Amino acid sequence: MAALDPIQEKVVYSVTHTYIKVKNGSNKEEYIYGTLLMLEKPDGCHIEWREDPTHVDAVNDSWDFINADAVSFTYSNSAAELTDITPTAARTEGSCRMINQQKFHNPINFHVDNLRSFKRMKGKLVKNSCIMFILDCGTSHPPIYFPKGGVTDKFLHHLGKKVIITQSATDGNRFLVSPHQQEALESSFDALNLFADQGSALSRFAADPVRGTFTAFAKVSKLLTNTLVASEDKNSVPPEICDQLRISVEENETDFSAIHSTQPEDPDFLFIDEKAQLPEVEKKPRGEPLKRAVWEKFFDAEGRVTNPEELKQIIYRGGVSHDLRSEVWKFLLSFYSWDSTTREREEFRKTKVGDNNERLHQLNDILMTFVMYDFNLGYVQGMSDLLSPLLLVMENEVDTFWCFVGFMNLLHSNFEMDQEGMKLQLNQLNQIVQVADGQLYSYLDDHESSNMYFAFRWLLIVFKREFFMDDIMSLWEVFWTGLPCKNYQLVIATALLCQCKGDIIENQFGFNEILKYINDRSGDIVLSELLIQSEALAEQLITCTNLPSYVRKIISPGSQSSATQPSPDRKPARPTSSPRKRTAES
Amino acid sequence: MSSRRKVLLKVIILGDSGNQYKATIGADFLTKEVMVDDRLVTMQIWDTAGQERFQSLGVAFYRGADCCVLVFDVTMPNTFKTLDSWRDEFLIQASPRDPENFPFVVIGNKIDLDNRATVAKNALAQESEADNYNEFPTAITLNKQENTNSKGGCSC
Repeated sequence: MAALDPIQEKVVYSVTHTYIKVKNGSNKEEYIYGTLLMLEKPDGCHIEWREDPTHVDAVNDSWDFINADAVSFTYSNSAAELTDITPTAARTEGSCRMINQQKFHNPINFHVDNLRSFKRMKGKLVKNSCIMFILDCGTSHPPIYFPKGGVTDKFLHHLGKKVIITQSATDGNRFLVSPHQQEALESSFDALNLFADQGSALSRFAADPVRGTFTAFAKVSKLLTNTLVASEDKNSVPPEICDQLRISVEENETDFSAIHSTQPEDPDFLFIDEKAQLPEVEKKPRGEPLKRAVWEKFFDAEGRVTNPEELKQIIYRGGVSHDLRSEVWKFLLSFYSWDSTTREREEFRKTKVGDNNERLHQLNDILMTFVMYDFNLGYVQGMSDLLSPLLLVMENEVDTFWCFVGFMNLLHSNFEMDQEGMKLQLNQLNQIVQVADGQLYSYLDDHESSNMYFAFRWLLIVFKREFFMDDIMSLWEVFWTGLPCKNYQLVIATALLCQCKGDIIENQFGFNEILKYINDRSGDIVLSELLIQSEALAEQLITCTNLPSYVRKIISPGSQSSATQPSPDRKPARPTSSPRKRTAES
Repeated sequence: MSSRRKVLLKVIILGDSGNQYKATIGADFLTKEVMVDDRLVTMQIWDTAGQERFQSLGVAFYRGADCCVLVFDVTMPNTFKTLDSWRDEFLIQASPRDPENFPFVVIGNKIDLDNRATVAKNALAQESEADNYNEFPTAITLNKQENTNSKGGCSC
């Protein structure tokens, strides 16, 4: 075992009052405070983050109550001054803990040789500076936030004595790490001059944002050109064949078999990449959530929703404010039809309540009921993920059940025995990624990942495990509107993958590491940003004039799709067909 | 600084889990570093979705596995009985180069639930004699921890 005598570890540098964000029992964000340590052990240098037992119960913004003066930085250069860390109860199992069964975070404790890269965000962009470590196995630890006014520079300066740090050419916040071959070479780090006041790319950017940005863009385009040229060489298809294929694609779009037979394993996506040029679009900021005053204006005298399409547009752009969710979700999930009257809905609910009230109590009961309701499907792992937010929003179990039925109608094929729905979606994701980002696609394909298996969890339960509760509610509302295109979840997945592109490629991750990295994004994705990017990407795809027809089919209404919209015409006035019969229809 | 020669060991964990609501979806793994003699071994311990319908996807994740851990729940004898099919399924899906000698480890979990475990322990003793587990290079370990499986219990 690697267990070492604690006396043998020496603290090289430490930062106290750092914190990480986790989910608490109600899926809300919570901070855990601790100390970031650089330790010298017999086998080399380790980085470790230890939870501070005195801050265990600190929640939410309690940071603001902590006096910034209390923040202490301790480090020492000479061996004589090295401090011993007293082992405490809190560190026996490291800083690994399960918070009310919600979010497990791995202990942050690794040898610097295992560090592949790190990302650093400085103030301004985020509330406090933070640093995020990415290991060679694909594990990405949660960002460690530094105390208010705390700077990451000194810590990184010490790290630079242990490993070689190189700033990414494409992302100024990313730093790639490689181990020193011999002794620590201070000069290499100083030569890089990352953190000095002058000369670093970041400070240049701060001094002259415009020039800085264009310089960075120039690097990106150079990189892209190199990669494209390289991948073209690799593919080594004679230009005349390219032309022929292109013509055959243009003339007869159904004639794909010819292309596939030319390159059976890898259908020459390169040509199609070149063919489909996604247009530039402007990114639109997210809208306001639907408020009660606006919601109420949509009803006529009898309580019918007068313009559901306009309403969906509002929800698509900004979601629903929380106090309205229990009402609005019933429409979105087809429990109520949009053109029902208030009176019809009341009658309708009574029939439902009358049928089922005794059997519906808790999450477990609802799932048991669903198993009986949809007997052929049964209980499948992941269903409870879909149910829990509904239960949280609805006032009672009956409404929850029928909304769950609506949600399951959308995702039914994801859960079926043959898994055809999931296979289809992974395949469709593959096709969208090819069009959206050829460079990323080539990378995934070269690293056994164009099967998109890493996206399985995303798609099976529509990103449920990737977000905190508030965010997943907003994301699902957007998804339920059916806007702006079919299979929007695949567009969101593509946009999310594009966000991860830099980390995946620059860390040179393979199949295992990509999966791990993608899983570790959970709780660390900014929803509004993702939705803005997804909306822009959807618009690019929709307006692209030469989008391959098989991609257009994925996103166009009326196409074969795994997540089909429920029929909007299901009227509450005639709902009492037996559950089994409805299942047979679906 | 001593040189760190690293060896990667890919371990797959299989077995029936109880009805847990937070089941693994898709696949995930944890890594743990262990010193074996003078070699530093990084264990990559994989958990995949347990339900049968998700198994076809498991294939991709089994590839390159060095060891397979079969876990059962000592309070539920059925979870022991299904280990055979888990093993067969693994050998079919992962198709290791030398299936005769592929290392399996069997772990009985939750032995701390003593009162309920007794029956299962007897069953285990009988079954492991009657069964042909001895033909495989298999170790049987009993694990005390309940509901967690990331630490301890692994002795290959």
